[in-house]
Amino acid sequence: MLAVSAAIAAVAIGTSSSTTSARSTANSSGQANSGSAIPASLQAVTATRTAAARWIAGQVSSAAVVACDPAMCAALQAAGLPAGRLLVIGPSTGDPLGSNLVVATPALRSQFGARLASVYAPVVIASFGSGAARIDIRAVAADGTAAYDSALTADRAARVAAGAQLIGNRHITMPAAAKAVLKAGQVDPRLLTMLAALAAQQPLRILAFGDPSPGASAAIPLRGVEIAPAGGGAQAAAQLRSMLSFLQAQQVPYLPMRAVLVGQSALSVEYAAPSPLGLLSGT
Amino acid sequence: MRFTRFVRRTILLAALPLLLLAIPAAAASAATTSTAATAATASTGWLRLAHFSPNTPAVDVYLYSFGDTSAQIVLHHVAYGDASPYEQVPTGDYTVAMRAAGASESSSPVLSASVNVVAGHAYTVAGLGPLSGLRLQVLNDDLTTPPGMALVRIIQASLKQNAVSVSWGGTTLNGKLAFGSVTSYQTVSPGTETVLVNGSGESANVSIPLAAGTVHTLVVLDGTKGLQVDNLLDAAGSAVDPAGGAATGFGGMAPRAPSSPLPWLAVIGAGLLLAVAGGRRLRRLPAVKS
Repeated sequence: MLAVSAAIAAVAIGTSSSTTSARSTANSSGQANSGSAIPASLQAVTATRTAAARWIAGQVSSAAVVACDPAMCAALQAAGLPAGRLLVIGPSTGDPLGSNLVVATPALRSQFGARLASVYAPVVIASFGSGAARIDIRAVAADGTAAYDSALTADRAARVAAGAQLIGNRHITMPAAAKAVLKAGQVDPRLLTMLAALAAQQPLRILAFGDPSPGASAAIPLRGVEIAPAGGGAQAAAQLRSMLSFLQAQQVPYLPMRAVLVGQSALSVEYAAPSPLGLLSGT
Repeated sequence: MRFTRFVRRTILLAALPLLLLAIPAAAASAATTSTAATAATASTGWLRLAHFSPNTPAVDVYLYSFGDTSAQIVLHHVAYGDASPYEQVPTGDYTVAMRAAGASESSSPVLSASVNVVAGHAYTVAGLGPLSGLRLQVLNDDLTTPPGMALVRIIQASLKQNAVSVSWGGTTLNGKLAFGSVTSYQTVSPGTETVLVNGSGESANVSIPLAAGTVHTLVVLDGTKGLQVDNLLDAAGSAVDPAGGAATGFGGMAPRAPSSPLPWLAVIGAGLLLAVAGGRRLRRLPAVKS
């Protein structure tokens, strides 16, 4: 099982286990439902909020400012985000601008209405829960949705072109599924740039691309990859360590959020959310 | 001189591919050579590298092609104030990475930027800002001017003078240009005028000719004796492809695609001499990897 897939599964399991846990609690407390127990729906809301907070704490860049309602901000702080990275949205706050991400809880969706998606934050990078209690994590369009959409379109075109070049790179081999993802422009530009440079150091195999972002829009590129040295044998372990060393030597924005060995044969790499736009154009 | 040495190294770097191109070109007719040059231009762009970060040590710069592992460029010991001549490179995406000057190629390079080279376009990948905030910025270089005019832009790379004003012939090009910033190109009337740079504590003036149809980048640097202005020639004429930094004294926009095989034979001879004479150093300059 690929580590990235495992990570996706882990998040999914984490989400569902939280929910399951909440449901279990609700069930176990069902005996007290007529008393002072917290209603199951409220527990579900809390569980969804906790899952969203954990995902942000584990997946979002430490440089990103997150806009949130007071309850969500409290959950984020409990998950480890410093207060300096939180933009608390009160009832009188006019917009979430000034942040990089906004956590669209039912309260914020109610506060901003359709403008949340149409004006401030057009794209969902992860989503938790369902129905009215759903929590979406959205990328904020600092210069407006039109500019964001335009940048996203240009970025995807650049990713398609760069992905096609990587497919033709003689130092990189990959399965058909990975080629399809590259051709579709669905790979994070940091991964593309890193893979090109890493392949120049030593031939490598792409095992799979992935992304632990449940409910993300199809427009959001995959931030994770699992790779291995092209050849096996006795040198594979040393080559893996060399690849890991290469990744650990990088600086933002090319420093992965996570780079770990998967057993003795592969390396799992993840970059932080959100994916930057315009990185491939370089200008 | 460090800069000259760097340029010479870059010329050496260019010698091998030039040699490989020259041999078949010399054997062909002038018409064929011209066609080949046109075809090459259709799938290539130009790239130069520059180091304008005053307190950043010299670096070795590596360009890794996304798709072609043989299209790699290495420039050694790029130090503050250095700007390489333009390198003609295949179109496509490149990762730009750096190592400390002299670091082993087995050490991990630090990825710094990516650049997409479009056919017929020219780019400067410039290291800007202070060491603590060093960034590699990809600048789109203009190659054409309005008829009868010149284009000029300014890079403010003086850390000692945090902000400067720059004028050319009495016309203010920029009244307050902050360290690490790059202006867009401005259209100016051709002629030879004095470029005056004023900082809070230092100033510099230098006479610079701007011919009609030429495109220039003026770089404000911290020199050993105060402010210094370097004049990089981005393009020498609308119909002429970039071939190198004119301010380096290597002829700038030298005509390409010669109509006679004789120049090619001369290039072969020169290339062979360079390859032989610089063989030892070329081993340290792996311009082409397979």
